[in-house]
Amino acid sequence: MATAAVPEFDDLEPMDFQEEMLGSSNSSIADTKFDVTVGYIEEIIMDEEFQDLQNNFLDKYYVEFEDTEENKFVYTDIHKEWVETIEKYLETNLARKMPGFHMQEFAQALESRKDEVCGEIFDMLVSFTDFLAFKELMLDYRAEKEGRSIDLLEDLVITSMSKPAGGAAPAPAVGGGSRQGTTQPQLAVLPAAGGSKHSSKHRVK
Amino acid sequence: MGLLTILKKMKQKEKEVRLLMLGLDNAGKTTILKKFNGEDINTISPTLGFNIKTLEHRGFKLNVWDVGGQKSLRSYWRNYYESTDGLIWVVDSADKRRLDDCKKEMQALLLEERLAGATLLVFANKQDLPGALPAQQIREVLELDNITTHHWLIQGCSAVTGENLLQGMDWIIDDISSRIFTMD
Repeated sequence: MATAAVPEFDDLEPMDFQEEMLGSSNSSIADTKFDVTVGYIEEIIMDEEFQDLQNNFLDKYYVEFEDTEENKFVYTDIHKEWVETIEKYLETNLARKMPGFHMQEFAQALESRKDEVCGEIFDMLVSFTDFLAFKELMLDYRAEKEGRSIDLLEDLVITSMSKPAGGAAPAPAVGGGSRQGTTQPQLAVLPAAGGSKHSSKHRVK
Repeated sequence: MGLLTILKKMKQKEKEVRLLMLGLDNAGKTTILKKFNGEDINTISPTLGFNIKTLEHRGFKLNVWDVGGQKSLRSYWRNYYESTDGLIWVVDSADKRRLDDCKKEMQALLLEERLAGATLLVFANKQDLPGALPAQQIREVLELDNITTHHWLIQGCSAVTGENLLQGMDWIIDDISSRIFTMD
């Protein structure tokens, strides 16, 4: 708590800090730090490396998933690992961008802002915890891997992730038309958030 | 608790309820779930893992988790306790031989810390069978009246005919919502 009230700004990038200050003269220092952190989370999630992390995970486990209504117990373990992997990845990368970053401190800041925690980025983070969405993601991945291996090569060029905002058109990811796979977060949600780096800086007045 | 879990809890929608359905094997958990959801119940085989259904009922979003009840599977139950608002314990009222086992398993659940805040609904299922014990007798065998730690109700029902399923569900939703949602 005490640490949250006295943030250290030495560890923030000067540029980001100034941008924040210009836009939010009313915001307290803690608010600014919070917004900067959220901005970094967006950056991390938009990064190609995060896409690789997800694809590696899907690759490792998709064979376990079968398209039946009943679920195997192992799905629960895998989903748990999925959530932990993503949490750890976020924490590691936030600490890299913001030396001295403490997830617990940020979590406390989040909880004191219950009403402000809205926007795509938070919806997306929460969606990782949704078991049924995760199962669908795995099944879609498997269907593409096994059913249409040629299509797959095209699908896996999820270029829109690595080129946010005005880069190559995201069309290839959706191009198949009839493809169910577009419900996958990395195909549909991430590109949609592309380039909206500042979208969650809702506190800025 | 990790970041995503914290966010999930914060953003949990109002009127969203998580129900965990447990009981010995062959008690009729999956049949109850499917019948309540208006699905065909003629081709149900023993659950070896778990089923999840998201149902809309009276403006509530019910996330119902139905986990297999065979003895070898019961050690997995604990993976599904977290965030449970209501526990539905399903009893095969015609299986007198295993009522003692049934009681032990249920009582063990009531000691679980992560289920401490959950409302308990006991479905005395299979009331359509000739040899079924009535709910009142199940209540005595399970010693429900000794429970002081949880809100509870026992409801005789038949998953096959659908009798009283709605009443039970309505009660558990009412109890949960009076505990949780009126605090806003």
